Amino acid sequence: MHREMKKWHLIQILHEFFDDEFKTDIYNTQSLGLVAKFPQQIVRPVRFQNGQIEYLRTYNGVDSMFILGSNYEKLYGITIDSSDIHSFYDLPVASLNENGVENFYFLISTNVTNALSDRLFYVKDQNDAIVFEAFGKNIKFHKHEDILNVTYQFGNGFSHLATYNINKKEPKIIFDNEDLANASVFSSGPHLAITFDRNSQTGRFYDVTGNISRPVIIDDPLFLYGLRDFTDHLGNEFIYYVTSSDQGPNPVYNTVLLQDEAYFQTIPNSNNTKVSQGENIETKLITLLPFELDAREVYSLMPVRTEDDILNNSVLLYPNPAVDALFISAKEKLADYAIFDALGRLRFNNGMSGQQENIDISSLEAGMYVIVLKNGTKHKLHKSFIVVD
Amino acid sequence: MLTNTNVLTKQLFIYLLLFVPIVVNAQYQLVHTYNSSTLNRILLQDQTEIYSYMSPTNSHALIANANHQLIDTIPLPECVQNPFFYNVRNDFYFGLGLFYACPNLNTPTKPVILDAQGNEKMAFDSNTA
Repeated sequence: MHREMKKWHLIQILHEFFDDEFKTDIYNTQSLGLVAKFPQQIVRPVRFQNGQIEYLRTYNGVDSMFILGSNYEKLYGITIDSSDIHSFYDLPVASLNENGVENFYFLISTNVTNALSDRLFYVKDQNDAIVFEAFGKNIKFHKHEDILNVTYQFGNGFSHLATYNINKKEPKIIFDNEDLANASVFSSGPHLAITFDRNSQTGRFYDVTGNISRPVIIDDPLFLYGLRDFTDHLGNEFIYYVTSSDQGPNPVYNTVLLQDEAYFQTIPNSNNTKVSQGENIETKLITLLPFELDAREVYSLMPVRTEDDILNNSVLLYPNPAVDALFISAKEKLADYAIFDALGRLRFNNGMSGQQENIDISSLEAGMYVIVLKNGTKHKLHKSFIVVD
Repeated sequence: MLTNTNVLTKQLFIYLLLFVPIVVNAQYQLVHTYNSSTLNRILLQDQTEIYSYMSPTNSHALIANANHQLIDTIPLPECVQNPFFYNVRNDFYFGLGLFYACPNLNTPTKPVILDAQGNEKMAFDSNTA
């Protein structure tokens, strides 16, 4: 499905609080002319995974929810039992690429509870069919690449965490431990969940497949805010949260950064941290200095991995030592390669059209060689290999 | 003419380059502090960035470039209370524009779009936007 993004459209949300009327007008920023009008509805822009389509979601009251196309036409819609709906403003929707088609799923939490005060929630597909239903708390969509999960806590306290994988249509218990009763679980975005035990004051990371990630020590875990994750424009994955050591009159806030689930850095005396990022622009953190100058600080990420490093980690060269054939396997498309001997002489080079290459090196005598790979940009990768008889 | 000492020094330097690991500490680095809690980073469509924030007296919207140098000062309409300052974007037909509203407890607040000179380009019949 391809739709041209209406990049010049201004999405304007209007709330008429005085007469309790909701309406939404959409204007074109080039002409300031009215493009579309949605009486008694809320329209919010949601950008989905392909990055080119700007869909809108809207509620007609609270009894339906649908996805609009870039021309504001209705694409998909679901019905909601408005008498049971728990949250009016936050009805999560996620897209999932299934066999090359982008399908949408809606997460609806209701007011119906069981004896443990867990809420009934359900997931609907874009054809208005319920695909999963359960009781739980802290229910969230977690999406990572093309995997979509619903995570939720259930049972006494917050001691049980489960996930439902939309792709495989299967539920799974991530942890089920009464000893962790009353621990808190925080969602960290698409693919991770974190819990810390208030008694032991330790933190743990789990991924939504149920695997326990490496333990992470959380500073002052009694108060933790704003757990979020982000990926910078070089592909480095980060998680950050803000802790407070004291809830007294002068609490100290710190922003803690993790990379690849391991402790990375603490930005002291920082609160209300926001991540600002774009597709091809350096990610920056903007933090609030609490109780001092009422000031904001801008932090820049110094390179953790350069694009050359990423290229290096994405290319596999085997076997090494080699006899008469050398194989290249890369995660991204490579443009060409060149092989030099130990004296720096070019022995041969060739273009590449894909991510795999089988090079005949039977003409090379025994010794050490260097292969130079290029990925179509200025980035080059040098790898050495040995040829044996 | 190279002396033995020079040769030894050169060789030592090469060995140092070969065997001393170059460690680059990855980190977040403070690049600038703004004395305003209203700071917003705006990513423009040409993949550059600007920063917008309110002046200390709430009389102007201030625009800084990617190097955090002040590049524009947009006068704001007079407002008795703390004004709402929503965001800045540069995709208007007149270039840079900002959302602004002065709250009024008795009548609906009417947000406006101002251009870079502070001229009102559009007003909305609503109490918020």
